[in-house]
Amino acid sequence: MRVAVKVTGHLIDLCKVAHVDLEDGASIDVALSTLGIPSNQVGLVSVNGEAVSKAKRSVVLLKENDEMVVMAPLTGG
Amino acid sequence: MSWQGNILRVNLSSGDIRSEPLNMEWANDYIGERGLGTKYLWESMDPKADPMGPDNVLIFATGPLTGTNASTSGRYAVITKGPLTGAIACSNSGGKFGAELKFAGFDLLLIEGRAEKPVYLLIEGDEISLQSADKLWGKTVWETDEWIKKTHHNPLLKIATIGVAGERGVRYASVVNDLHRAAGRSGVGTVMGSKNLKAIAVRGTQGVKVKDPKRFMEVTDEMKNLLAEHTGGLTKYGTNAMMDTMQEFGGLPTRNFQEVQFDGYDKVDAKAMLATDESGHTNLLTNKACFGCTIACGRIAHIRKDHFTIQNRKEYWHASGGLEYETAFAFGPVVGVDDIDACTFAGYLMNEHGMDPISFGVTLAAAMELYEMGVISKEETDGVELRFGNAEALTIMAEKTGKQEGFGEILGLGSKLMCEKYGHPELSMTVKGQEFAGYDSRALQGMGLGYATGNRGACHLKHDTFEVDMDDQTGAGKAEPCKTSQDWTAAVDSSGLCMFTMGAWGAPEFAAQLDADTEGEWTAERLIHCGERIWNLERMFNLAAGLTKADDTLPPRLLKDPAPSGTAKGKVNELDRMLPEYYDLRGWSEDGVPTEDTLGRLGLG
Repeated sequence: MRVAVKVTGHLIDLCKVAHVDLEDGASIDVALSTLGIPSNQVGLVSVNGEAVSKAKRSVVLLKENDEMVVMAPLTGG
Repeated sequence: MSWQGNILRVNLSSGDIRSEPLNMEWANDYIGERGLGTKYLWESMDPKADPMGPDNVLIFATGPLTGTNASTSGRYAVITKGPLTGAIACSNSGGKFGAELKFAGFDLLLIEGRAEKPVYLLIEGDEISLQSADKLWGKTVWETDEWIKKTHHNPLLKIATIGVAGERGVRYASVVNDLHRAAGRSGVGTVMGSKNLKAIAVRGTQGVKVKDPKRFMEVTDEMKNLLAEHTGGLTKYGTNAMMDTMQEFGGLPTRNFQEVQFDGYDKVDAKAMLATDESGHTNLLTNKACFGCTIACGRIAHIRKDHFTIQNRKEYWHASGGLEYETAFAFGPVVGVDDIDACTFAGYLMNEHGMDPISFGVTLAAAMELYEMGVISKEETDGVELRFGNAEALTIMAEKTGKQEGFGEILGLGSKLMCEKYGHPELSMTVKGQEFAGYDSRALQGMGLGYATGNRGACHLKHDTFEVDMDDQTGAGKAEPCKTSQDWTAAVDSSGLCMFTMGAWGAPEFAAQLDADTEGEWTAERLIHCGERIWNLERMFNLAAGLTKADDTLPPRLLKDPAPSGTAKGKVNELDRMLPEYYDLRGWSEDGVPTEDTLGRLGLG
C-alpha cells in the first residue's frame, strides 16, 4: 500500500519523499523505520489529521492512501 | 569563583555611583541572573511601587557562567516591576553585552531613582560616569549605538539601549543590545525610559576566573559535543523551523487567535527564508551566534530592494536581524500577513525602535479584529485599512508605534489597555496584561497552564511542556510537568546560559558545569531546589504587588471557543481542571498563596 508522507521542521533533512510503500497493515512505527526517521526525533505523528500519541505508534495501523504527517519536536523560541 | 564579587549601584536621582560587594549568601541561594536579580529586587523596592515611577528598581544581572567559555554563556537578564502587568518582569538576552558587563568587573547592575535629564551610563574599565544623553534622546537604537562608539572613540564598547519607544512610554518597549539582540519582553525598556536612562555602554578587560579550570575545560568541552548532537536543526533553520509543525499540529495562532492554522504559513516559515525567488533574492544570508554560543540560532537576513517597505529607503538596504519563530508568528499568522519581506522589515523596526515583537504583533491583531468589527474607524487609524492580511498596515503601524505617532500611540498601550479602551477586553490575548507567544493553548494544554500561572504574564519561555503537550491534547497530567519545568527553567535562566541548551542538557549537565565554575557544591537537586525558591519568590513579589488568583487565567476565547481545526479540533483549554492540581503540587493554598510550610521549606519564611 502507498501512504502519503509529509514531514515538518528539521526532519526534512531526514526524509525528502512524498510517499512511502508499505506492507498492508503496517504500523506507524514501521513506517517511520522504513522512512529512516528515528522515533525519538519525532514530536507527533498525525494520520488524516488525527493525532496519534507515542504509545499508540506501534498499534495504529495505516491504510492505503492515508496521509501521515511526521512533526518535529517543539523546542520553544 | 566566576563571580567578580561586585555589584554596581547607580542612583539616577542623586547621581551617586558606587561599587558594593556581591551578597554571596544570596548568590548561593538564587544562583545568579534571574534568581539573583529577583532577590535584589525584592530587597530593594516596595512591590506596590508605580512601575513607571522613580521607586521602581531596574536590575541588569549576569549569571555565574556568563562570560565563561561554557557554550551559550552570553546571557544576562533585566529584572524590574513591569509596566504591562504590574507584576515582576524578567527578560533575558544574549549578544555580547552581558559578558562584557562581567568583564568590566560587575556581576549585577542595580539602578534606582530617575535622572532629571536624559543620561547614559558609561563603564570603561575603572572609569564609570553618567553622561548627558541630550543628543541621544529621540534617536533610534542603531543611531545610539553608533553615536556612543564614535563619541568615545571606542568601537569595542558593548551597548544596551532603548529606542524612541522606550522614551515615549510604549508599554512593551525592549532593551536592545548589540544592535539586534533584546531583552524584549515585559516592557523592561519602558522602565528604563521612565528613568531617563537612554543607554548603558560597557567595555571590560578583566576576564573571568573559574573554580577548577582543568575540570571546567573538560566538562564544557564534553557539553559542547553533546550540544552539537542535538541542535543541528536550530543552527540550520533557526527557531522558525517550528512554523510548519505548529501549522500541522493546529496550534498556530491566526488572526488574533480566531483560528489555529494559517494558509500562508509556508510563505513566512524557515524554508521560505532559505528559498531563492525569481529575482535571485534569498531572505536569509547567514546565521549568527551570541557570545560563547556553539549553536548560532540567530538569523541575519535582508529585504528585496524593490519591496514596497524599503524602496527608496537605502538606510534599510543592509543585512540585519532576521525572522525567528516568534517574530514570524507575530508579523505573520496572528495578523494574517504572508509577505516575508514585510515581516522581516517589521522585525527591523522592532530592533531599531526598541519594541517587543510579540506584544506589538498581538496588539495589532486585536486592533485589526476591532477594525473589522467596525469598532475602530479608518479615521482613527490615520486612513490605514487595518485589516488582517494587509502587509502595508503591518509595517506602517510598526513604524508609527515605534515613533509614537498617530494610531501608534494607541497600539503602544498594549492589547489589554487598548481592548479595554474600546470596550472589548475579551479580545485581548493576554495574561496579566502580557501578550501570548505563538502557541495556541487549546492545542497545547500545558502551555495554557504555563501562560496562566506565568509570573511575568503570558510567556512560553518560563516552562517547557512541549513534549507532553504534543503527545496528548487534554489537560490530564499537565500540572506536574508544568510546575517541574517552571522550577527547572528558573534555574537555567539564573545560570548565565541559554535555555536552547535544554534539549541536550538536563540538570546533571548544568550542575557539572556550575560545580566546576563556582565555589560550593552544585548538584542537580540543589539547582532544582533553587529554581523552586526563585519561582516562589517571584510569586510573593506579585502577591505583594496586589495580584491574586484571579490573574491566573486565560481569555474567554481560549476557555470557551473550541479550536476550529487541527489535531485539537473541538477542544478548549482545560484550565479549571489543571489549576487546582497545580496549586496543590506547588504547596499553595486554594487561593494560590504559598503556605507557611512551603515558604519554610524553601527558606522564604
